Amino acid sequence: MRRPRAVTVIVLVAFVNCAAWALIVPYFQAPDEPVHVGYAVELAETGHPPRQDRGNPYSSEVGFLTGGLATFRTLQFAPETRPPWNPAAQRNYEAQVAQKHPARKDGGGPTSASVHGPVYYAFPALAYRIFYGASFTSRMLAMRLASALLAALTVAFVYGTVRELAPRVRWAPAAAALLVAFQPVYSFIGGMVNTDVGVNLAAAILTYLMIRALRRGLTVPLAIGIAASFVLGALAKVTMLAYLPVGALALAFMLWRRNWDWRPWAAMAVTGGALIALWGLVVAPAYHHTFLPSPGAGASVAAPLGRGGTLSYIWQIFFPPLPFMHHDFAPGVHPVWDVYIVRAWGGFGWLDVILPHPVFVAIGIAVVLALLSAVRGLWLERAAVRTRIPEILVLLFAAACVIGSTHAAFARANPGAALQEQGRYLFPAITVGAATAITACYGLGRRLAPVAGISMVAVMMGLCGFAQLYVFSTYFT
Amino acid sequence: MTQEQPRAVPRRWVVAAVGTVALLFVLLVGGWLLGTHVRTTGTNSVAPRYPLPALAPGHRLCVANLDLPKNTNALRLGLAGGPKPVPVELRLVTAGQTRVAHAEAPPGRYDTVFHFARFDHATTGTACLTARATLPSGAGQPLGDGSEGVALYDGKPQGLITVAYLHYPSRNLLSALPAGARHAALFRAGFVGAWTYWLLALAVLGCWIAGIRVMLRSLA
Repeated sequence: MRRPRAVTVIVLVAFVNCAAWALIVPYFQAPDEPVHVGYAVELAETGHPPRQDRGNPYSSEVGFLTGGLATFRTLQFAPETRPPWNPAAQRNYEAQVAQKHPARKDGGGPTSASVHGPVYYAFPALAYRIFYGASFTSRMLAMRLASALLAALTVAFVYGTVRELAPRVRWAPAAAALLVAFQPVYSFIGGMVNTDVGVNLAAAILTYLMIRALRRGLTVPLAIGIAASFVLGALAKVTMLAYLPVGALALAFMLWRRNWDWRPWAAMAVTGGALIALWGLVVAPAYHHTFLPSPGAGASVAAPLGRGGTLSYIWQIFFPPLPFMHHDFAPGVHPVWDVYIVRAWGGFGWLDVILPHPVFVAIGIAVVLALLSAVRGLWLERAAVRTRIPEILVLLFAAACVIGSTHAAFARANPGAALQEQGRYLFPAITVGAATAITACYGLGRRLAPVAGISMVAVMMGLCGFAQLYVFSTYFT
Repeated sequence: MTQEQPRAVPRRWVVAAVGTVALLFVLLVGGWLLGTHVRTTGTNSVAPRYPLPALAPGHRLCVANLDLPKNTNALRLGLAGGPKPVPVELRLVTAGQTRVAHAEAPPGRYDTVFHFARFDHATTGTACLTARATLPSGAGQPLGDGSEGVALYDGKPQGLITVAYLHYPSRNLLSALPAGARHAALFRAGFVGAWTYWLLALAVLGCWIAGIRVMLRSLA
């Protein structure tokens, strides 16, 4: 019997790991999961997204489970509170459901999720429909597993991108994909119902297609894929628009590399135009949705600062303010630590379960060392880098655009306001993170690079396993 | 990021690297599982977010509808003493039984623990407090939409007071995992039971092995 291909095994591994999170984390105990579930349920039940003119944001059936769990308020403060986890409470919930048959179709009112397009929600909604006859707790698991499938597919495109960049180095794509599959917060959010999972997939697909087109030349299928992944990603969540300048840069490099055949360009224009027209002229009017979904939380918390104020804010995310800058953060607040280390690597649930501080110190040191090593890797492999300058610039620009747009969306001048940026908002650029990690391995030299790669993978597996055990013990022991 | 393949990496280097990581994981996580102690069996789901009014001598503060988990033998209430510890009496009424416990509310800490005989099975109850001196403050939340854990001050609702159910002596985390698996299986899909979490642990372990095997194959 033939051995399964490496990418197949890795996708399966990524799915099981995300599914483990889906089974560990209590229902609705993930960022904004109630509103995302409410959206998916409405889509599955009625075929249309939530509407402004409806009352209840959630169906009675969803409300019954949140009430039965009696944990929604509790678990947002998990370190301090814990439900009794009494089997009698579950029996009571089941008896109430059997007796009252809570309605499934009386939700669909506006929530913070109803601004998003239905592209991502179609997948959990499909899982919901497949298990339509099962209990709501079973359908909820099915929706989470649908998300896990998308998160696992994202890992496949990370594999593909790194393979395009280093086609003869077999361990590099495997290591990059496994690093993503076991990134603790990525796999956690992958096992939840959250539209970020859809954007992560769209961004990974687009990155793969752009890099492939840059390496091999633009073809009609690649052009269609580039346009479709971008437009559908933006219709899943507007944060995908961060890739608009990235796409423009990639297309400019393709032209520069003499991809002058008109057919792929025409296919790209027709695909993008057709999808936008389909949405704007048919889907959106039918479902009372705006042309493009408006931004979520960022828009609601951020007051316009102007270009200078926004740049100053982004500067202060990473560095202390310069003398002429308004101080956007209170003394003692270290946003780069909070967003890039704590929330990106070890903030779970509603950020109520945070890994122990020494773990973050170790992660912080490892991240800094990896970045330094990546710079050295680029220098040591400069001959290979020279033949991939457009690809590398596109990847770096993608990271810059995702980071910049994330912080710009939440820029505010009130030092007392809470930091709104979440580590998961950076995951549309997770392919870049994985490629950086592989480059960091080369910072140790070619001979040691594979050893560094497999060691990194093993450490990431251990970190993810510890995080799963830590979250499990926080909620249930 | 290179097109050229270097000389093959000695397999023993790779095995040593993975083995070192695995050993470190076992030591660190094992130490954490054995060295961390838990005594909470549950809470009344009220986070200590806001100060609540004081309890004066001669008055009574009752918290009804407490869901006491099995094996609970102590309650921690979010009550703090004044400059000095304040003696407090708690009467816990469950299914016709009354247990009386005494404790001192410590100054400055919302951490008053009452010990009593263990409950062999989960039950519901009402706890009523009286204090010999003025208790300056409690911790909890203002009245919300729920009714569980409402503190009644002389019969009038005043807020949600934080209650934690405890079990003494504390257990290490490793020995608490089986109960954790039973808790985790509640409010899940029909087929999920405590066994699912043991199977899940094996599946995650299997994923690690599969991932490392993929890496080793790619290095071969």
